[in-house]
Amino acid sequence: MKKLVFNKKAVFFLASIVLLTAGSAKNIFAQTPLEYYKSLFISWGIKVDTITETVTTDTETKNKEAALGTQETLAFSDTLSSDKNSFNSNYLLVLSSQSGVVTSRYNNVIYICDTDTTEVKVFDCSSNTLNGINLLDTKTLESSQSFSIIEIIEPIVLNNTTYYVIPRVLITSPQYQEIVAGYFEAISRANLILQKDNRVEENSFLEAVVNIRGSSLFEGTIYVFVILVIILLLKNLLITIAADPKKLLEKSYYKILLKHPLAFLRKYRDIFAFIFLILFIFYLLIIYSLTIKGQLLGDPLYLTNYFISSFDAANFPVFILSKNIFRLSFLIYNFLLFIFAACLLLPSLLALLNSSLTKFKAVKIRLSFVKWSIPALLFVASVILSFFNLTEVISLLSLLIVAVLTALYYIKNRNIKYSDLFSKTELVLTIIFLTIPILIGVVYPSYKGRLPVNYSFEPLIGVQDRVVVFPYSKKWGENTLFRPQYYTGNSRVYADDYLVYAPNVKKIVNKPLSEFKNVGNYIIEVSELDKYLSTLLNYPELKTLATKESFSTIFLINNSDKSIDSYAGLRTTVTFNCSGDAEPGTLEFAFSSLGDSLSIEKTKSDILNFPGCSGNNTLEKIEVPIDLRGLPQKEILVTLQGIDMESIANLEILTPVGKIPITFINNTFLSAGSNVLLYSQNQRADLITLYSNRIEKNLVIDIVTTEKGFDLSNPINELIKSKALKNPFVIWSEKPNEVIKVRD
Amino acid sequence: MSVTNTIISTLFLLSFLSLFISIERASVKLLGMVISRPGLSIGIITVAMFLVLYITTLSGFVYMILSVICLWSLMLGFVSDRKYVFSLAMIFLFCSIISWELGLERFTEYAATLAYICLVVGVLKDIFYEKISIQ
Repeated sequence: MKKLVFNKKAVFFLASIVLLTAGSAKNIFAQTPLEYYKSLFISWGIKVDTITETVTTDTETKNKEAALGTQETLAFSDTLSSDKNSFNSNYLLVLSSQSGVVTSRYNNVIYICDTDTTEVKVFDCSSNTLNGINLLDTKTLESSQSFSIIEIIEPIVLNNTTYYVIPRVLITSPQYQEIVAGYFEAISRANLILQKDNRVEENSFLEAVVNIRGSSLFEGTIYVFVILVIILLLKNLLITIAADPKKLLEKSYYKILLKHPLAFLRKYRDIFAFIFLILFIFYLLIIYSLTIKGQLLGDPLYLTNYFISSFDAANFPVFILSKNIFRLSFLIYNFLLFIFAACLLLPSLLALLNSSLTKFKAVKIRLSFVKWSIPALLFVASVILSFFNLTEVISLLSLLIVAVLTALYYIKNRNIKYSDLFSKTELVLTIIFLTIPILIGVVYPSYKGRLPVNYSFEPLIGVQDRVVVFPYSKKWGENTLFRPQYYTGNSRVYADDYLVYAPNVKKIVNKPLSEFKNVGNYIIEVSELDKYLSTLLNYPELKTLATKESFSTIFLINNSDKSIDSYAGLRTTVTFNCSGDAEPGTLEFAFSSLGDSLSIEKTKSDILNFPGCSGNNTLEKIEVPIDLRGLPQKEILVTLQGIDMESIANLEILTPVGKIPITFINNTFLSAGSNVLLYSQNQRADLITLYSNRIEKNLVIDIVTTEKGFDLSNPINELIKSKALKNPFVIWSEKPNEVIKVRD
Repeated sequence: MSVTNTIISTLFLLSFLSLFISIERASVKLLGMVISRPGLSIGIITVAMFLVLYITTLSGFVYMILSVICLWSLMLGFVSDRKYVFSLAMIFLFCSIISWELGLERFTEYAATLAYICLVVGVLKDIFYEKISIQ
């Protein structure tokens, strides 16, 4: 009993370790601006160190603080080495928002001004200005601009330390950043040459190595080495190709080729079995732990989802970047388990295949069975093809095809004279039987079309659950209609794209969007962002209905008078919401406009590089110059892309003379995950019209409500008859989770 | 019946008819190699199979592989000694009883289904083997 308790404890302990590891590995923290800038400079080839603002209390730091006379204490981050000399080769990256940073130990300092107050003491710099030059007003794409920016950020030498002073806008504006990147990449290349020269002077051995590596003989030797390795690996194949290429078509060649690896696998089978067993036992423990975690979280599908997300190749980079060690180990563990399972099973499987083939060859099948099996299988296949779609019967059809092929191979290998098995009468009758399904298949549909359809009836809500709520997916059979299903709620109800019920109206008309008229009470149904944008651009009268007072990630700008791209010094101010985890990223404007042939033309432009939240404010404003030249001379819908839209609180487009008018467009349906957006006019009328780009046929529904409620099956049956609904179709309501059925 | 279904059914009919058409001499004259009647039939069925695969894409391909595995396993069970098939059925039955006692309902159901399949294969062999094959 004691042992059992101990075992349970051990399992729980192991499970806890797994749970803790899995849980802790999930935490990913938002990148800070300093980390963002650091990664940028590293990508440009500049080795940078940073100083993190961690308050320390140890005596050493206190002494340092006293010696330096700073009010705030700053500890060096773990990226720094304690060796003074090594500091000098690296650049120190400092933000103006970091106060009290000591920079004298570095020869090179990159100083990013990210505060709006001008640092008068040392550098005349703010987030948008440098040396009195307002970078927001600079024409961003002028030919001389590259030179002017490089002149602006020309290094300043103070006390033997070189300072590169960079206003934040030069990083946050994609156009500026490109120029800054080019500048620092050039510096990096120059540094490399300098370092190389120094190293060469220091070490003649290194010089010799560098010379050898660059020589053509060395390169030639590498090629020769690769060829040699390939020769060693493919020795047998090369000999066969040169001596007797016909052997490649013989089965025995491949048997010999597989002989050695299989012999190896057979020889060490016991070892593979032992390792596999050990791995499998631990695998069971992992699954057990994950099941416990699923139970603790109240998620019955946790284990399944964990496996799916672990094996999803798209998630691999995320695991690596987030250093999710448990997931990566789990993947490697699965891979090892698979390898050992394959090593264990492969020789046995091949032996089984071999013996089964020998057995199959040895079996003698009666000729009468062979004779009739082929036409029987072909007849069944033709019959199912006459009455069903190929995709519906693919599983059965594939089985029949494989069976026919097997029978034909048997005839071929046994040299059976199949034609001799049939008498003339049998043959004629068999051919007639095989032709009948084809003829039926050709003639029957047209005959069937003329026959009155005998519908069978079934309940619309067929499930036996006590309560059923919308949305409800219904699969329907051919020639099936639904028995009355009464609805007493007061929400609009839809079947796929059709409006089938609306309260307080007497008639519903469903029409294609191409027939849209801005008259009376109507609803516009659109799905997907692209359809939404094209609908707004194609039907200008809808724009007034779509507008929103507050910020939205879709907005309309008017460039009909070319007013937008004529502005020099055009800029945008984006307010970021830093109360959540706002991740760094590049904000893009995706422009959609109506083309000449009423098609939608799309372009994209990088607008702002968001470095992340500094953590000082809940709202952070970043202003960058933008270049919108080349936009079409018409109304343009702009969709924000590239970063988490939850982190954007507001956006303005500014000119030196004022704001550009922006009309924000309602996009709540997109974030809500609903497949439809509705616009309706709230007039009291008996008729309501639904326009949808997915409706092809007009459908009129008279709303007749009885004491029991409105019979939803009635319009749905009409839609079924006109084959307007998908199979399965979805019945849904505007109000979420509207109750459709309550069983007594 | 769609056009594709008609074409596939017609190919099935042609594959059967090709078993009765003498094409050996014609193939030697035209292609310089002997094509047997079953060979031609196999070729036509293969064309039909590729047409099916073209229309059904991945699902068709997967179903074909599954069909090969199922048919091979069935044939293997059919040609194996009945003692093995029934012994396997007994093992699965035993596993289902043990797992039932342990409260592993899903595993019980699965093991019972496997036992049932083995029994069906064994019984089918008992009934039909002598009628289909020549001893």
